[in-house]
Amino acid sequence: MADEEKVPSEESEQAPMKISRRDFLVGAGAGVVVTGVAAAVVISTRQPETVEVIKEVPVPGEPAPAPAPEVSRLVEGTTVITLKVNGVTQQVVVEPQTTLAELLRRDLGLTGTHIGCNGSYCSNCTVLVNGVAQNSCSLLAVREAGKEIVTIEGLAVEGALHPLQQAFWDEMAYQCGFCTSGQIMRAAELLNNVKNPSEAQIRRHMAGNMCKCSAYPNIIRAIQQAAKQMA
Amino acid sequence: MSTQSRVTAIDYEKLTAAEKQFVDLYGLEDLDRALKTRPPAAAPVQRPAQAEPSAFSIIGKEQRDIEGYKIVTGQARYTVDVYLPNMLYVKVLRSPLPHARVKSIDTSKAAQLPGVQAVFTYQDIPEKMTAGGRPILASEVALVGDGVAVVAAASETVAEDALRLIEVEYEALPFVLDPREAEKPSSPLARSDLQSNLAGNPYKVERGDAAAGFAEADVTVEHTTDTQDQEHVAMEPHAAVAQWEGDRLTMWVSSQYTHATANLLAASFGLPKSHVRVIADFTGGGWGDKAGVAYPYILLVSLLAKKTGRPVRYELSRTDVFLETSHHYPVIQSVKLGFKQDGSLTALQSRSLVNAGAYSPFAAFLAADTLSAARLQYNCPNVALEGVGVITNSAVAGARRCVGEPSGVFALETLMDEAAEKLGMDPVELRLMNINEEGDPESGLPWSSNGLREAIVKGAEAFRWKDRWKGWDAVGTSEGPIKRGVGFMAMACNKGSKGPPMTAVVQIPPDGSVLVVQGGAHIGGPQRTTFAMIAAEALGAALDQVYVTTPDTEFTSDTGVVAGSRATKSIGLAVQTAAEDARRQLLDFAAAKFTKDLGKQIKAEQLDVKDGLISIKDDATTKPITFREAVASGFVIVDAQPIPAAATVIGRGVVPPETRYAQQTYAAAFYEVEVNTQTGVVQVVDALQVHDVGRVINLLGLRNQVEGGAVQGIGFALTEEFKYDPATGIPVTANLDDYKMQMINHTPPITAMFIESDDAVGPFGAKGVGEPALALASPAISNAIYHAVGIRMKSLPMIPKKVLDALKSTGV
Repeated sequence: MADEEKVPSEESEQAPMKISRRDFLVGAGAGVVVTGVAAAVVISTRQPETVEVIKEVPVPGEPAPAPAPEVSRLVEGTTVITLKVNGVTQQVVVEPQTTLAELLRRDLGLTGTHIGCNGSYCSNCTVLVNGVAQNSCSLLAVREAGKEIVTIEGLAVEGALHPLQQAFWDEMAYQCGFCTSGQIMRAAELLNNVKNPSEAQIRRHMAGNMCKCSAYPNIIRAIQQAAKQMA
Repeated sequence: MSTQSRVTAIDYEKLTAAEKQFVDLYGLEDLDRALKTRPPAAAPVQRPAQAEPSAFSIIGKEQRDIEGYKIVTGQARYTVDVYLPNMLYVKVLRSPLPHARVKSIDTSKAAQLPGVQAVFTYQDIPEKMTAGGRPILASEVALVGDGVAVVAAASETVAEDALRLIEVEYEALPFVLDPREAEKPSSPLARSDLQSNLAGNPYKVERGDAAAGFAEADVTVEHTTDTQDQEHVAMEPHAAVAQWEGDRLTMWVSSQYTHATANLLAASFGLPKSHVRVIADFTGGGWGDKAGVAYPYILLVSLLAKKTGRPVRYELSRTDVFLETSHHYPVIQSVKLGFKQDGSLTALQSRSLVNAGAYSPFAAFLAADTLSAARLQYNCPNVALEGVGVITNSAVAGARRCVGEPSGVFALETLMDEAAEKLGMDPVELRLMNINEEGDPESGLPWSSNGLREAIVKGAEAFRWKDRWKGWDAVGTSEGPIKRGVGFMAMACNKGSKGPPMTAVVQIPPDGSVLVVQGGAHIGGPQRTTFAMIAAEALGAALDQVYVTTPDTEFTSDTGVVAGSRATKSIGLAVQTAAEDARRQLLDFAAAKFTKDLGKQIKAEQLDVKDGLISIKDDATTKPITFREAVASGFVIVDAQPIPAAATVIGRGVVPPETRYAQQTYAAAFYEVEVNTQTGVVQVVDALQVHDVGRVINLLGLRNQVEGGAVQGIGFALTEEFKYDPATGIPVTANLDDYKMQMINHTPPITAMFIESDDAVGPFGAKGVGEPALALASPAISNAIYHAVGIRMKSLPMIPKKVLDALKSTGV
């Protein structure tokens, strides 16, 4: 899978192209208006209330957003993509507007990944994409073709809990548990890269993952506990 | 992380907790500069030791959640995780105007879109069917977000596209957002069906003679506070899936109270409750927002499922949640207090004006709740209280964790601090002098427990209040632009009580396992673990023998809502009662078994149960038996003879309402803040919350609840606010970007301390704690800000702009 190595992560400064779902959806939505796409390939923005603020803003220092041909190709219809989810390579049919979170939850039945805001604010939907923690609600499934996805369901190995899962349970690093999958996946990225993170590193790394129950003190304790186990 | 790598001069790990907190917020680069300008840090409060060893074998310990495996593996099934075959998806077209009449609505194009299965407007809603008085789809909208049409389609995207094909013509009507305006006779009516914007009759309490009380006062203080509209933001968006099978309706709903939803559906569709099944396996947060409230979406999915004959699912978008569901309501509250020079209260007067939003089913209760602390917290012979609710074209007022009390306690406890200064007293002493430890002055009933004095005294000691407060002369004396101050507050909270309905069943089948059948939601307490611990303790079972049912109305009885901090005390009491009933039956089986095996009569009273083993008291030679051996033996003793019996135990717990005691739960809080006088940013650097919980059941869940409640309280105090554009009535913070929540990097060190006052009513002496945990932060922070910089913050949230404006006005 040499190709996978070349796929830039979102965090990478060398990313040749950065297209948010929002940018893409504007293009796609416009396509509907102009071409009157058949109902089988209905495309729309998912959050009508945000339509009016949508515009393409070039990010300083980065190349221009995706060129039009890519968008046109997508709006032609559903696409068959291949991706690896929790170690299993599979082919799935996706609509152009399907997000990775929707694909995982609705189409693949992996409902452990939760959508809290569908706008990349709460990070409850965090999964690992090629080892990088990403908000799956804001990734288009078609663009994740060829990538390796790990969700909460893929973290335990043969029934043995990952140290983070064990620690989140033992320390009760949750209350309602809805954001927990995302918290654990985000923390997994940290511990995969940093052996013994400081409390400040933990706080900074986890700062985008919302927990309205605010089990934050226990989340810190749990990650510290798991880090000890993994060290 | 990038900041971390750039800075090498300061070793983060060697910093104090408060300094780490600062670093987390501002970065290491700013710390050096800040250190030069701040007062020396006080040593933080030590985390208290674990609960003392007690006579209990299960309760009082740190017990991890019995449902935790499901949660950490992603297997816990929330309502949004329910996808059924052949299911339809719903989207609602919502009003863009705060008040308008729908002149015309054309859904014909939407209905023709392939994939659309049903489109409804108000004309399709059965006459007289409402969501607790609120229209399910409106012909006259009364807030931005009122639904005017709904689509059920094969996918969410088709449903969304269909919404855009619906043409609505509105006639805009005058609207009102500000409760002070709405209260005036000249105000536009928020809804044309109203005669006045007043939501029912005002709530009033009068004891003694307030005017005479103020006349005899040596010192009088008064002020007006305002608290904001706050959304609950439960991480799981509201959702429901409805499925009809003939005349039987099944609904999965994200809920704190499935039985209330079942009652609503049964009444709305004219069905016996036996034909309605409501399930909420796991619920992703609620805080009152999902407390069985009759929302339009619940009825819409049911109607659409009936019409289409297919399962129908509606998962509200985050914006839908902000617009459709209830909010914590804004409160404008004035308080006036009169004192003798020695600090004793002579008179207390308060009026609260509650913004009940466009539709409020219980505005009078919401208004009354803001006055609860004023009514009951302190001994005062002369009290006059008035609570008024008004209807406006804004979010529907509802219950949010502790309902009106956080607003009421903010108004009362900030003024008590002001009074203490005027009296020249330590604010701790002023509270201790006036707290009402006897009982409810109106009903005459004594408190079922009262640990407020102990909470205040022990908290002050742990926080080293006297050393850190240093007297009123210390106000605003810290050097440099970042100033430090400490604040204190106390609270008598009406939540955490025992109240009906309270029912549970404890079953012991022949295999000796224990099943607790109860309908309370598992929403974070963790309630099922709490109930398992209570049942295990009462039965003498080992904890891993016990399992607790999910909230499913098909096989549970109505045990009331998981809200109002009532689950541990009320449902816990039902579980304890059922477990004790089961224990009696279990011991009957065991006595028969021993009698048969030993050939001599053993009575149930001679037996002891612990850790799942039944033994004969003072008999070390006879081998103890398991529950299985006892129950499966299938004999009980009648007339001193073992006779065959059905080998199963069904313990029944039905608890009557409380009549002997008045009930409250108590807390005190000590906060330390830093106020940046250049930016207006207030940062909590140390927080101690002391809660009288009656009895600790699960120390792990308890600490988690209090820490989480404190963080939510800090959000209420400092950042969270749902706001409208006053010119258009359009909400401007209906997303998680503009609505500012507390995140992990803001979370200060929080210390939770617990007082065990052994409540006379609750299970093993326990009472609730979840709700007051939120209410403490805002008055404690406001008082600490005063201590730091000498300004009284009376408006929540205390955002930097308000702090800077207040600083400017006092010339600091």
